[in-house]
Amino acid sequence: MKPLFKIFPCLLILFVTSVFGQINNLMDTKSINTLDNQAQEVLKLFEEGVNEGEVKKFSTYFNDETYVSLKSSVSGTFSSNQLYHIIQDYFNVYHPYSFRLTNIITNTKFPYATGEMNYSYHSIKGKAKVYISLDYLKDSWRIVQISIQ
Amino acid sequence: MTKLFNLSRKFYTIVTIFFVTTIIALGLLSPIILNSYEENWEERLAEKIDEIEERVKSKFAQKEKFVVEKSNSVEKEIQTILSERESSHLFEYFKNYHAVENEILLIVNKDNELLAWSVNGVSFNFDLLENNSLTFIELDLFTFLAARKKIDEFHDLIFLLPMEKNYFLSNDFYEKISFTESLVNSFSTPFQINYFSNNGFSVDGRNHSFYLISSEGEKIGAVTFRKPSLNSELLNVSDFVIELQLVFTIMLLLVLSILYFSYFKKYNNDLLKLASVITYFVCLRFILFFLKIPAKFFDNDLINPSYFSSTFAFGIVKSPLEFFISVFLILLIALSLYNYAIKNLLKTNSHSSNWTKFFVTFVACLSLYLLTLRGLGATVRSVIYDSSIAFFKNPQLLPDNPTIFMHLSVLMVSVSIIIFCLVMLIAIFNSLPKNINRKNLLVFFLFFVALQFLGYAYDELQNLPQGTPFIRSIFITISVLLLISHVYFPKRKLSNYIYFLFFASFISINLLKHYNSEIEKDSLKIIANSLNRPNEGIVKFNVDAAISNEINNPDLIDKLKSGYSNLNSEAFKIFVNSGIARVANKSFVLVQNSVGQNVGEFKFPNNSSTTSIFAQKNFYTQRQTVTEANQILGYLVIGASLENNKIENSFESIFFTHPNSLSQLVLDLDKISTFIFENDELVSRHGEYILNDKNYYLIKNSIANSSDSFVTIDNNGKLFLTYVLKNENQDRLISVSLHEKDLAWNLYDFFKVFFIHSLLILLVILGFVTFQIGKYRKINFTFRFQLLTAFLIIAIIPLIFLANYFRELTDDKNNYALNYKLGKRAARIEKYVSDYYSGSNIDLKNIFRKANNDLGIDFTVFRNNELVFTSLGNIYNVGLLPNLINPEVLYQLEILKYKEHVVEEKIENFVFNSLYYKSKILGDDYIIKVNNAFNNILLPLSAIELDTFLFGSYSLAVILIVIISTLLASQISQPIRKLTNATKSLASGDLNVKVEENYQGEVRDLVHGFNNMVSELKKNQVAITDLEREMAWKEMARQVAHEIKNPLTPMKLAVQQLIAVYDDKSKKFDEVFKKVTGTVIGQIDTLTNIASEFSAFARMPNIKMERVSIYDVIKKVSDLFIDEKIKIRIENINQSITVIADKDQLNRVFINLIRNAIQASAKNIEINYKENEVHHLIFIKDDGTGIKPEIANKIFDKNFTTKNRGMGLGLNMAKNFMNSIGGAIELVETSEKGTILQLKFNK
Repeated sequence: MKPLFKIFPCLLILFVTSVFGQINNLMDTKSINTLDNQAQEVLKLFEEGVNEGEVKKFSTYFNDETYVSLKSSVSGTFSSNQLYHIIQDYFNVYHPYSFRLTNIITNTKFPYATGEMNYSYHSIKGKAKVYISLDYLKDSWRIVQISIQ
Repeated sequence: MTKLFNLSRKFYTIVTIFFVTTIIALGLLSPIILNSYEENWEERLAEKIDEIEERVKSKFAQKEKFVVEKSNSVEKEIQTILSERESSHLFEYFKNYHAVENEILLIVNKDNELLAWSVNGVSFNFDLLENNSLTFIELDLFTFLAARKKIDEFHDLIFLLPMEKNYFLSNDFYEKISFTESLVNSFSTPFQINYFSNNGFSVDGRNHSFYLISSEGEKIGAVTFRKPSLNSELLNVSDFVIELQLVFTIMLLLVLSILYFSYFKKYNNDLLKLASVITYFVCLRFILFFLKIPAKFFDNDLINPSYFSSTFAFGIVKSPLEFFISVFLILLIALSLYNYAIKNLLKTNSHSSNWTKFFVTFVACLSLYLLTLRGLGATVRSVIYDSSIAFFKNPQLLPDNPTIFMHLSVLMVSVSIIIFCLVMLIAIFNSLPKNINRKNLLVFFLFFVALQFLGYAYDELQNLPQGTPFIRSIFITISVLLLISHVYFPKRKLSNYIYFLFFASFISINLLKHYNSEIEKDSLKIIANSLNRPNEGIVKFNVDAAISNEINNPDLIDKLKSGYSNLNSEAFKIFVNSGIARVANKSFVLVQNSVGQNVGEFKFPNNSSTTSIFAQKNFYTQRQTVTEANQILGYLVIGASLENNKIENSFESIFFTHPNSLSQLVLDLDKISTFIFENDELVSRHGEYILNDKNYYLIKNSIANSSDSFVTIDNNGKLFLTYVLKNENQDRLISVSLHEKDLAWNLYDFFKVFFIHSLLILLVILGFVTFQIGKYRKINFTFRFQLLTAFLIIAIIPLIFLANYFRELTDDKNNYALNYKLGKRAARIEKYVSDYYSGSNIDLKNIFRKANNDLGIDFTVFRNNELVFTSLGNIYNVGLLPNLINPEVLYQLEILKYKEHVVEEKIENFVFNSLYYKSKILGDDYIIKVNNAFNNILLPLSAIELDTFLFGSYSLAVILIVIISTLLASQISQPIRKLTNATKSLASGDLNVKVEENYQGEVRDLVHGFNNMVSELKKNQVAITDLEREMAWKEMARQVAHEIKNPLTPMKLAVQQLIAVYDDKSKKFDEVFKKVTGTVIGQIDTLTNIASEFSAFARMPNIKMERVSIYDVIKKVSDLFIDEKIKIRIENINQSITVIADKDQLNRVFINLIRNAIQASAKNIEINYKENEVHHLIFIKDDGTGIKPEIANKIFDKNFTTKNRGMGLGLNMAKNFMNSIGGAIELVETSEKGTILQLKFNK
């Protein structure tokens, strides 16, 4: 019995340490997963918004200064207020009727995604390639680059 | 405008019904029109296609006509030259030739050798052009309409008119030339032009094709356009109907506005009027916004949100135009509030009766004041942060339209807020209790101190106060000064508006500069984050997108199929069409033939090496085959660097890559310095600042506990604000620095914006003057105006001469400095090459290349008028600059034999200076060209900077001169004005007028003389009046005596006769008695008549009764007292109130009453109006010493006066006059605080 009393505290310490380690690991994984999910969420909203031609679906995620490059339109770095109207006006001319993100990379510090957009311009159909990238700023994911070529 | 209001209501009703009916009718007719369109579509389509085809042919014919006519006229001129001189003198002709449509002229001999050319001349295979032919030809980046004509036996003229510029650059210099695009814009349908007749028509049934046929009947090209589709046409028709409805809606809104204004104009309640106005403008704004008026009719940068856009208030400020309209209406509201405040809140007698009301007003108005001030800061902040306009970065004398609109909007919003804040202060002052003297300077001072303190406290309470303490305190000071000025002079004047504009400009520029400095600091963060962010994703995306878009490029396929050996221009076109340049520091495009040999290449930057491209690390490269019908024609290779550690701000970078992610920052990239460290090793730097070890450790320590921070670094006494960012994954440290003096306020920055504001202020002044002239149909050349004009002429003309002289001097110095520096560079190149070449057997071209690398100078070398070397391969190899030497240079260097010559050249619209330097290198003649586009030459002050500084500073001087001159002219002309008004009063019969004698010199003597004259006139008038009265009485007495005598004589005779008959006791006594009494009674009647007539005669002189406007009379009279120390306010009287009276007499009545009030020490007179069913009642209320009760009932008596010199007739005459017209004058109330008199007029 005596050895048991000696061993038991050691076992107890070992057990607590390993459980604590596992919890920590789980929490880290969970926080990474949460960030990953958040990024996915933003990209999903972007996809929906482009599909419907509605910027307001993803405009809350614009960074204070976002780079945008739109084929046959403007390029440069603009504030979130400007970007809202720039992209909305673009969609009002090049009406997107379908869009899907086909390549999504979120397991990186700067997640990005690409896809293809089908649009109608003066009743003429066309295709454009779309790129979006995110950065984690001010405790949330922000859209920092949009390119439509 | 007044006439508009006076048109009958019936007219407006009819017009309103008409517009509403039209709008509804258009809506109802629209489906019918669309239906009819649909039914007849086939027929319409055929007509439309024919119409488009005819119009396109017509447009082409115009181009052809230009080519033919111009080439004919040039041919004649050249024939003349050739007949008189040698062909080398053609360069003299070409150097003076000014292209109208960017055309190029070439002279070749019968062996197709090039002899002479105009600016931008190009060399190509002239065999392609047959004589007397018109055809299209594609050379590098351009497609030309080319004509060849025989001038004489030995010479041919080739005329090239550019039809298409086959590339697009998105920098600010790019000049578009595109016949295709002009067709697209004209017909709103896609066009494609095949400029070679061997190209067939489109097989797509949705398209229509036709040939372009020259005047010789040759098919030289084919045009294909998308047939108008029924859907798009219906959409166009529908849009047209909507636009028509919008136009009628605008007109309807205009009519309703006029009706609305005419209704509330009649309100007596000013507050109700004000509320109506505000409601109107707010509703109007939202109606315009929802109907998208006028944005729907604009299609330019004014509605482009990339210039400015905010999501504030549902998007009513979503573009420069919308912002301007919103702000304009806010200004109108502010002006209405101001008018209300002047008219109602600056009353002297409307004091609050208690402190509670004052306190509530104080809290409410002060809160609004501070909130509005914050709003101004927030608005200007949005103008800086939500705009891509750099107000202080690149000075422009006259900026583009969106920038002008933004300047105007910022100025208007500042004016509105200054006015609104002033109204709040006036409201507070108006609510001061009665016992507080609001004109006491101590009250103002206490108020000022309280406002400053509360402003400071308000800012302390906020997390993010807007503006700076300096701007806040200046704003408060200005508003208190304006308040003081308005309390003392409560009147609307042009000068008030000028002060508003001037102060608004000052405040807004300071706020703009403050937020610009803030955003410059933020820009350091943006740059650091941009350098920190990996480029991989976006670079790969752009490379992949470019490849997939271009491998099916028909032009590329054609050229590869045709076996072209030089496809540099194709590579360039692919490069600029893609987005790779904007995201990668280095990139390239290679076109390879079917065996993999490079046949076309474009790399950026120019000096990067393409050897072993595939071996370059950190490059993402894609290579794809270009095929047609499964046959490999060649390969397209596009690559870009994944490294993101450099900022490029050279001209080459600006020319090819802008706008990129950093090009639109308000920061000038030339002024920043960046350092990137990886594992403590410097991997990249940019800028002129050198980082020493001490500063490096300072930077490193600043981010010991955080991932980023701001720190100030001292470098040889210069302070640099530095943003430091740490990327732990790569052990990467990025620092971005800016010299602190670039963030500080300076006069030059102030003038950059003030110049534009001053133009707007001067326009307002001009507009006001024009309005005055239009209203009064004349310019009033008063003494003050003449003085003001004299001051302005004396002050401004020398300024203009000085500005001109200074500008010319600086231009000359700049030109000299520039040419000198370019010359030195050319000389250095010559020396380097000569020294190197003489001792080696290296190929000369390689020596030139080495010179370029070692000296860091970009240059081009010509020999025998052709290009032999250039360090600017990117520019020359693709045809952006011609490879033939400038003809003016040839003329100067070869014919006139100068050593060097400087010409102005341009690439796109970017103008630069090129120095051509004749050089002998080991016995051979070369011409070295160095320019300041690709070589950074620093000048003390560039022309545009100088212009901005000069115009800015002088416009400030002009405005200050206008303000000071106005004050001086007013001061100097004041005694003249007083004398003028006093003379007018005198002419109106006021003999009590007196001008104060507190002047100096001759003016004092003049005033003294005038007063003496008036005094003498008065004495004489009294004496004359007395004398006249006496004479009149005497005459009247004589007349009366005479008239009375006449009937008395027969009366006496009759009575004597009666006495005689009585004494005689005659039987005829009764008869005689009757006769005598009849006579006596008759004569008594005669006497009575005489008395009545004389009484009527003694009444007032003949008066002219007419309908007069009470307001006009009172206004005219009050103007006579404008220079006296009395304030006269007219309330509730408008011009529609009229009475029947003698105008002059009425004048005299009011003059008398006002003069009496002045003599009773009154400072303020209020003339008010009321009415009842029967009478118009005018109340004259003053704050004089009042009338003593014991004499109050005597004041209207004749000859009653309390004055030493008075006649006591004024009030008596007034009473007589009022009675004579059926009215009355009464004393309503009097006390030591003032008197109220009432004039009653019959309606």
